[in-house]
Amino acid sequence: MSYRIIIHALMLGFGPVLFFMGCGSPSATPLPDITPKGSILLQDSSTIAGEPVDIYALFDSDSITGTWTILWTDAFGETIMTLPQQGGTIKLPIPEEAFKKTGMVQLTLCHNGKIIDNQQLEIKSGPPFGVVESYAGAKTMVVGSSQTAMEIVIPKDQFGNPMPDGHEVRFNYSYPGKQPEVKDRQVNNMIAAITFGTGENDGNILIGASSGKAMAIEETIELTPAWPSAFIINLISLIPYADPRQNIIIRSNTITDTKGNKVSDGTVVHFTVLENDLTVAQFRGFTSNGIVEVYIQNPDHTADWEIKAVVAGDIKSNTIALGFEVYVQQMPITYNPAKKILVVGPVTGHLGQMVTDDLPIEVTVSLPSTSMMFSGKTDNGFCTLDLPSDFPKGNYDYSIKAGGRNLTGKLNIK
Amino acid sequence: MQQKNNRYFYLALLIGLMLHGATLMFTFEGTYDAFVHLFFANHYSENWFESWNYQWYTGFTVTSYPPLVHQVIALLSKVVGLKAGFLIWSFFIVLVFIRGVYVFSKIWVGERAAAYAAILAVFSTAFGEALHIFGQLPSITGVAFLLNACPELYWWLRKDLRYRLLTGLSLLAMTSTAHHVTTIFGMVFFVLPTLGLAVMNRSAEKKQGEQNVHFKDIFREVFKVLPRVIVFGLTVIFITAFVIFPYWYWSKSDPITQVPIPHGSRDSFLEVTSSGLVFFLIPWGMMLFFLPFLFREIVRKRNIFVGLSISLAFLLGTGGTTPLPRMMLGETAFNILTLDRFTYWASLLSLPFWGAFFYELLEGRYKNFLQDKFGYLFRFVLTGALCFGVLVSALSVINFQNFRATQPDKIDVLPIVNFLERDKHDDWRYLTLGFGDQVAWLSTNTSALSVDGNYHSVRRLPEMTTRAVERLENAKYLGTEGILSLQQFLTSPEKYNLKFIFSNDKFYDPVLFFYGWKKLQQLENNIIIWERNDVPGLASVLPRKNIPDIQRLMWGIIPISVLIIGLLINLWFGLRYYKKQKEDQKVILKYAAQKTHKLFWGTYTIWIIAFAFFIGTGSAYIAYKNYDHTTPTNLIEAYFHRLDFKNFRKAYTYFNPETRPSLEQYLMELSLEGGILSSYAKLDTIDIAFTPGREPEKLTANVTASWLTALSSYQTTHQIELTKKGLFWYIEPFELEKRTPPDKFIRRPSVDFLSHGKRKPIANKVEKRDILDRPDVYIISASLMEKEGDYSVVGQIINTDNDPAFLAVEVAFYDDAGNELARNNVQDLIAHVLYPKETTSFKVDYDPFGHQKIAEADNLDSTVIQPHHFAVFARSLVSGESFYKHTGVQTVRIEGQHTLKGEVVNYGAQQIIVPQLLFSYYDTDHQLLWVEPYYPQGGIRSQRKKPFSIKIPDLNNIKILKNGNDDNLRINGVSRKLYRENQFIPIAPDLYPTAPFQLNDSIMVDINISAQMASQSDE
Repeated sequence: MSYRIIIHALMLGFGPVLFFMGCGSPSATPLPDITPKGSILLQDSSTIAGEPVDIYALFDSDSITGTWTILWTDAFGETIMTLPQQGGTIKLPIPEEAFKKTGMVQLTLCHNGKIIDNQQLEIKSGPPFGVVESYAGAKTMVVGSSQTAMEIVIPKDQFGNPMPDGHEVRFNYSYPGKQPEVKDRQVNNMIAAITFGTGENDGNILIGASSGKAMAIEETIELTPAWPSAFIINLISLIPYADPRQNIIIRSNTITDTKGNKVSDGTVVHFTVLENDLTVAQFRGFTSNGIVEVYIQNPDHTADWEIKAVVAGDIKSNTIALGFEVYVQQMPITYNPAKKILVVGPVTGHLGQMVTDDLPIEVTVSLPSTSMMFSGKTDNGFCTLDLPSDFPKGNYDYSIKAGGRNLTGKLNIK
Repeated sequence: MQQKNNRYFYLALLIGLMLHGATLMFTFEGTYDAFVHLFFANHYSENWFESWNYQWYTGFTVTSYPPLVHQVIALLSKVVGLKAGFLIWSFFIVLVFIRGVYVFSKIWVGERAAAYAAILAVFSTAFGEALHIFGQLPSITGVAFLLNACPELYWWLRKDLRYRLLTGLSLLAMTSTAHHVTTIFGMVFFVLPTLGLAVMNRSAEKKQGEQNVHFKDIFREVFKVLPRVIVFGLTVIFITAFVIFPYWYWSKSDPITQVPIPHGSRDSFLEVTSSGLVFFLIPWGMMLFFLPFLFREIVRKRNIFVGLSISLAFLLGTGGTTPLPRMMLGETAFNILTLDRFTYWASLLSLPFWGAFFYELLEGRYKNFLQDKFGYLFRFVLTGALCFGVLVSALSVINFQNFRATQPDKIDVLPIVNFLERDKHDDWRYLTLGFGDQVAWLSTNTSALSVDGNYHSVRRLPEMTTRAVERLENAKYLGTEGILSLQQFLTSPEKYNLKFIFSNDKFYDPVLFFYGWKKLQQLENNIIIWERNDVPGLASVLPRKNIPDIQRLMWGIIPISVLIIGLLINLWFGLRYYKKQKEDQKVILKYAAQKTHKLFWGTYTIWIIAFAFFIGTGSAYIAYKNYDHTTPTNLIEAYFHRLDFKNFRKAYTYFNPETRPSLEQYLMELSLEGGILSSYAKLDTIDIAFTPGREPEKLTANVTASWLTALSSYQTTHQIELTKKGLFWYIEPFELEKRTPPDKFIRRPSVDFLSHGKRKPIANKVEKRDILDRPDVYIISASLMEKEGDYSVVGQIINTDNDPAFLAVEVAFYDDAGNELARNNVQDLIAHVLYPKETTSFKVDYDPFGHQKIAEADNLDSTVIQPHHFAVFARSLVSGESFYKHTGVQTVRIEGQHTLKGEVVNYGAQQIIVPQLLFSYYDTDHQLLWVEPYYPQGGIRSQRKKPFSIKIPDLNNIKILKNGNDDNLRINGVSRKLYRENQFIPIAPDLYPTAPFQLNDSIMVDINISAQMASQSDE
């Protein structure tokens, strides 16, 4: 009986002891090292775009456990490839497309999410290919100004990858009237650029650019004339009589800018006509091949005129002085009592000719106490003026004004 | 007998199909509304459940119009095309309509008279007008179903036949899905009298004859049937609400804000006789002769309800002829509803009695009476004359468009469609001018969007809803308000992404030209395309209003289902109860018992004779009074109206035969005149004052004529000599310009410009190297001015570039706190295209409401917040257009105190069609004070001149509020200062020489000339 008690006491005693011995922190028993060994092997650390390289994953054993992945990280993002469960050497199935874009590629080998190996692959751009993308602007510049223009080019390889910094681009250009010039520039941040200042002559700056065997489309920058400079106007044709049907023809010399370039076609020129220092007419024309021509109507009275031209910006011409003599030589007046009309004519001009139609005629008939004016226009050399039916009879003084001539006389109206 | 009646009915169907079917193929394209319905049908055809349509205005919902007809045409179009689908449905509805008249008439006038009514329905001028002139297919469909519904409801109430209620309700449901207004008003005008008749006949049956029926019997019967009638009414309301629920939802959630648009049906028909013709005489037609018979019949006890209906509809259909319709409907309803529908319904309600009249005339008592009294021949001639009149009036209405065109000539839309679909032109909105209702057909054939449309109830743009303008495209017919409305869109097209205008009317050429639009090309169909530069394209995502999906499903499923189910129900019950219906539904009217009062014939004869006498003598009197040579006033008015309508040969006949030139000489002299008034104006009013001539038989007419052009109103004064020869007056020929140019042959240098645009023909892409830089322009000055309470910004711009520049100028006005009050664009007060080194003045008026000019025209008060600051935004684009510059001004002088006179000279080789003079007034410090335009009346031929005479504005009332500076003047988005620092401008811009003409000690003026040439119009 007692030994049973002892055994039970021992069991009861040892149990808790053993139990408590099992609690607490487990002991740091080191586990065997089972990290798989793997690595990435690159055939080459750099390549040209479009030229794939072989990339391998190497493993110690013939078979592998766990999940092995390869991470391809480039400027376009990340791509994850899961490797098969075979060991040894595995050639990674990287698609050819991946090798077409330039930049640094980060390759990472992972096992169960843990990075095992890292490698880098540099994909460089190929030689320039095809048409070089180009932009030129401003499209126009004014000759002799401080304006500038620029052409930029972006040479690319056959996959659209820009050239690296330092890549040479050759610009060939010619200014109007000058020999072609060559300048080399280097690509910086994808772009090669060249600036142009204005020259002396108007015309087109032609620009070509090339990089290796790739070429840009021809660009043009137009050099336009500067502001017009003072110019000369000449009298081309004049009939110096007060016949408003005739025209004065005035033509300028070739209007140029300060560099001698003809002003652009369509440049508006204003011609001002002054009489007694007052402006009485303004005519407008525009240049064609640098020359402007205008047709100004003669006055309908004797006058001394000054004509000058101006372009906006106070660019003036010389002044032409003109004088106009009397046009009408004879203009008899008669009264027709049956129809109660005044007939002026035949009105003749300075060559003895019948004046043309539409010449204004003014007739004033007056008594000491009253006067009345009638106006009309010639038709086939005559002008008919209707008198009111109740026009009083009497001996009137008359004056006729037409074509710069004034005639007076007496008229009996019955 | 029954068989004979049926034969007449089938004859009516056959004649109806032959007459309307054959003619509709030629008339429907000239109607007002057919193309609108085709447009809606096309919408459903392309996307059945889509509720939003982008094509008109800035988009609208198609649930704004009951869809049945459109959806049916859409379904038919899948097999036979849209137009054939329209015709097929029309043919079907013609048959339904004739049947409707027949069965409707049977309950009122008996079978035989109903058969005659059916035949007469074929020749009804009201129906012909609605179908062949108005093209109102949905309302015709609605009334056709309604007429068929009425007898169903009659027999339901009369004989307690429940299945007739079902058929009647199904037909009313079809009516609602076709045209809801017909259901709503149809309940009052058609259904209520029908139910009243049913109640009356129930009483009559109980009392064994209607002569024994008194009102108390009717009331007793009414109370008996009232519960079911109430239930019926509520059911109809529910059906009408349910079957087109999305329509009611739209009208509640998006109520119409459109101001009332004038309509001829609201005119007084005595004052506006053309409205009386279209909206009264034509729809009633020959029925006017039988009005005494009608009003005699409808006062009979049994017809009292329909009598009230006809009388009310007759009265409402008279429009503004009496004040009663306005009083009865109220101002709002009167101005919103078109009242021609009431005349239409009145004439349809009268058809049964029209049939009864012919029955009496051909077979009944009148036949016997006339034959006994006057003989067979007289009766035969009289009957023949009436029948002939019915036939001729019907044919005249059907062929109305041959007598009076209601639309412009037919336009081939294909070239326009091709243009819009090419090169991404449909990335912008377009507008049509002078297309009439064919604008809807163009919209049907293209997916491009228009800023205008043909269904004004759905407009939401305030610029349109605040104007009593039906469409922009016929603005010239709408007076000043129409023109102002159009001008607003032409001034600010970028606001609506509006880039292209297709013009079929040269009336609008001047406003398009001077508002900066460029004539692009003329298409093979003679439509001119005008284009505006520098307008941004439509956004890729446009705003739209969505309705709940359940409503879209309802809209797409219920209406067409109602039609199918309704037709099946009627067919089923019709076949099932065919024989029973034939027996039960005979209506025999005992006319024999009706005594004809001896006064009736006398009254009727007097009516016929008086009516004929009135028409005959009235016509003769009116013809005599309106004969053009009868009075001087007639002559002058006729002459100007002939000129207005370009009827020159007729105008020539008004000249004195003894003194006038030959017709050829006259036409040649007219053709030389040209100008905005002779080519682009519509005559508005004429005032004539006469003074005695130099001889007794002579007069001098001092005429002041007001002309409406697309640019502005003109007043012209004319002194015309008149001579009386015998009884008639004649005009003495005028003197025309005699000036003979000095040269037989002219040589003038010119410059051509061309902006290639795309040099490589690549669709849908513009290469950057083809895009030209914006040309350099410079704002010389700009100032905010106040003149008599109105505010404007005046200024000057110069083109400093070497290429021609198109200018768009926008001014923003701000209050004192810097809040923007308005943004307004320059209109015609600028030369929109400047050659190199050319300057122009400009003036932009402050217009915060967008319709200030209209407010002024209507003398409405428009409270204006004063602007204190402003900013000018000038944009330029290289222009490839050549503009005429061979002009000058001479003999400029002041006469009196306020009149500026001078002459415009054209020394070049081309004819100026419409010259514009821009007068810029300066003070002696060269401060620009004011800018005003002037358009001389006539054109200017080569080597000729035109005088001008204008009133100088009162410059003392002009106050300079603020001058612009570098900060608030922007050119192509860049401040003026930056522009100046980078531009090669030789001198300080402030010293540019400006006004050459010194008018007096304090005023100087500059005159700039722009010219629309013959090549820039379609002359």
